[in-house]
Amino acid sequence: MAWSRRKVVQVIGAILSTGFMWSIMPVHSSQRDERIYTLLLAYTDTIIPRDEKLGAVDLGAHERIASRMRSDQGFLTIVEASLKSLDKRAKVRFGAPFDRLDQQRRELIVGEIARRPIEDMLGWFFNATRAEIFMAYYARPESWSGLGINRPPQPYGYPDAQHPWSPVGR
Amino acid sequence: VNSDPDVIVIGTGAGGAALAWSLSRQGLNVEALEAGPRYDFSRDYRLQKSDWEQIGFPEKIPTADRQVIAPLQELQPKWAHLRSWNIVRGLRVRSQRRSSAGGYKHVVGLGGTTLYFTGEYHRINPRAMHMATDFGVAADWPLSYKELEPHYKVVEKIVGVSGKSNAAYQRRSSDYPLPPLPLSHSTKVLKKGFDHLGLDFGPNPLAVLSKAYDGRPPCNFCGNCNRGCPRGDKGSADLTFLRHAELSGHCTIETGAQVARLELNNDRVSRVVYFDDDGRERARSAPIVVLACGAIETPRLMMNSGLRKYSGAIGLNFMETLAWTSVGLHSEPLGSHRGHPSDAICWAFNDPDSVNGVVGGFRISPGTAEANLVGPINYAARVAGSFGREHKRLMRESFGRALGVTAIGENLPNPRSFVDVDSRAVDAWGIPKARINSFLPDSELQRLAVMANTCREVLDAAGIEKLIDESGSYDEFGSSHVFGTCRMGLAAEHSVVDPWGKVHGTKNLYITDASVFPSSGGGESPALTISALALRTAQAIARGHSR
Repeated sequence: MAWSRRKVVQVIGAILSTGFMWSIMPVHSSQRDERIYTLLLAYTDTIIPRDEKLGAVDLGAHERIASRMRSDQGFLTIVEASLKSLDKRAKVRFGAPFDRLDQQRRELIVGEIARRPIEDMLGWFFNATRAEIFMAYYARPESWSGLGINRPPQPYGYPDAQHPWSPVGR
Repeated sequence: VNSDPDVIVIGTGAGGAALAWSLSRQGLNVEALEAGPRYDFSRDYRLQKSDWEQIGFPEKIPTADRQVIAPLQELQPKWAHLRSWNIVRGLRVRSQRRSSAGGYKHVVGLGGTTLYFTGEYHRINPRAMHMATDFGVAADWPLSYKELEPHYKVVEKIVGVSGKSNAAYQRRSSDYPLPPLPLSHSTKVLKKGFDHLGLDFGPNPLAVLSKAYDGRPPCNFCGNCNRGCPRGDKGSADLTFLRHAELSGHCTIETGAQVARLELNNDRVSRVVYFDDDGRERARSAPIVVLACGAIETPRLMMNSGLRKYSGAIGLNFMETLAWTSVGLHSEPLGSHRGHPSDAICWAFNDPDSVNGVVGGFRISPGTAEANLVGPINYAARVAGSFGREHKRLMRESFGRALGVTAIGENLPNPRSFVDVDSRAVDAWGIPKARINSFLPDSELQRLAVMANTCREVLDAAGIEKLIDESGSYDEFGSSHVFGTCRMGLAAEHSVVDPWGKVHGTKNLYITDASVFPSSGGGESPALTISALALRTAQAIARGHSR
C-alpha cells in the first residue's frame, strides 16, 4: 500500500528541513544519495513511527545516523547496503519500494532482518541503527510524554520519590 | 603555588583530600597535585539537559585507555548461571573469555572518583579486618576498628553523612550528623521482598544531604549521582574537604599536574617530577610526600619510580569490585527512576562467615540505577527493545517499572590478581601505563553465585515475576572499588606501608588511598574508610612535623 499524501509531504518536508543534499557523498549529490536518504527516512519512521505522539523522523533521529555516515566509512557502507537490501526485499515481497509501503508492511520487512544475529551484516545494521535512533529520539523531551515524565532529572529532581508513582501524560 | 610546602599530596580523591584538609587545618602548608581538572558542579554536569542520558559521568579526561587490562580468564560452562545477559540484547559477553569492557571506573579530576560515586559511606566491618587470623585468607589490618572510629566520626561530620543512627549492624559511638534520606517508593516495594525473607533492609548511610548542611542544599532524589551531582548535595571531596582546605589558607592545589616520577635520595623523596597543564616538566620538593592516586595509579607511579626495592609487594594483592545486579520488571508502575540510587542496604550477609562454605561477606542494595535503568534511552534499548508500534507500546507499559538489586562482596587477593606496568603501552608523556591483571578463582565465583541467588530470591519475594537484565563480575571486569596493591602491614616482606601509611624503608613517603587495604571488607564502599585512614596518617605526619 502506498504512503498517504500527508506522509509523502511529511518526508519531503523533513528532507528539505534537514538541508539535504546532506551529502553522504560530499560535494555532489546524486540520485543515489537521494534514494538512500529517502530509504533512511522510511526506515527511521518504521523503527519509531508517529502515532498520537511524535515519531523518530518528526524529531530528526535520522540525522544522528546521517551524521555518523558522514564520519564513518564502514558504517556508511553497511547502512547503504542494508537499506538497499530492505528496498529489494520490499519489491520482491510486496511489489513496491520500501518507502512506498505502509507501516505494517514496512514492519514486516524490517522484522525479517531484526531476527538476524548481530554477526550478520543486516543484523548488525538493525541493532546499530536502532540504537542510534533510540539515542536521538529519547534525548528529546517531546518523546517523553507517553512515558509519564516531562522533564530531565534536574533541576527539580523527584521530590515525590517516596510516594507511589502516578505517571502523567500517558 | 605555595613556594614552601610542608607536604605534597599527589591525588585529591577521598584520601588525598581528607589528608590535605586535616594537615592544612593544623597549620601545615599543603600542596596538592591533581592530574585532572576542576569540575564546576553547577555547570559541568548535564542532568538538567534533555540529552542527559546519552553519556554517563561527563569526563573531561577520558579514562577508558589510561590503563591496560591484561587478557582475562576463559569462561567455564559450570558458571553459566553467572553470565551477564539482557532480555533485548542477549548475552552481554559473546566470547568465551571474560571481557574487560567495564574497565577501571574512576574519575580524573579534583575530588577523584568521589565525583562519580553514589555517596555510599560505610564503615568497614571490624570482623573483615582479621581475615588472615580468623579465616587464613588475605591479611589482617595492623590497626583496630577502635583506632579508626574517632576518625570515622570526624569524616562523617565534615562530609555531612545521612544515616539511621540506631539501625542494625551499626558500630557507632555517636549519631550520624543527619537523619537518613527517606526511602523511595520503589525501595519500599523492594523492602517487601527483604521482609518476606526475614532480612533487615534499612536506610543506607550516605554522603548525601538529607537536610541543608555546611552551605549545601539537601538531595532532591533525581537518582543520578553517578552522572555528577549538579546541586552539590553529594559530599564529593572537592565540595567538602578540599573546599575547607583551600579556605584555611594553608592548601594550594595545582590541577593538570600529571606526576611522572618520584626521585629519591638516601631513602627520601627529594623531588616530585610532573608535567603541568601546559605540558612542561616541573619538579617540586617537600619534607613529606603523600601518594593518594588509588590502587592502580599509586603502584604504577611507584614502579615507574623504581621503588620496588623498598617492597616486592608493590602491585600485588590486587582486589577488585565483586558485584552482581539482577533487574526485573514489576507489574505496577513504580517510578523507579526516582529516588537516591542506593537509599537502603541489607547487611545480613556482611560478616565474613555469614554464608556456609564461603569465606567473605557481601551486602545488598537497590540496583535499578546501578543497572542504568533510570531514563528512556536505556529503557528503549534494554527493556522495551523491538521496533515500530510494538516498541512504543512496550515503552509505555514498562517505563518506571524496572526494579533492581545489587550485591557487592568481599574480594580476596590471589597470586594472579595484581597490577604491574606495561612498558609497551605508554601515555601521552611516554610513561608506561598500569596493567591490571585480574583473576577470579572458584572461591570468588562461589561467593558471587550466592550473591546472585540472593538477589534473585529478593526480587522474587518482592513480586517480580520476570527478570530482564543481570550482570556481574564473572564475565566482565568492571571495578570502581579497587584495593590492596600497596598493602598495609608490619613488615616490608609482605606489605608496602606501615600501619601509619608510611612506605617501608623510606623516610618521608606515605600512601593514603585504598591501595593500603589489607582486605576489601564485605562489600562496604571504601570512601569513608579511605578518608578515615587518611586522617590517621595526617595525624602521624603532624606529630612528626611537630617533633
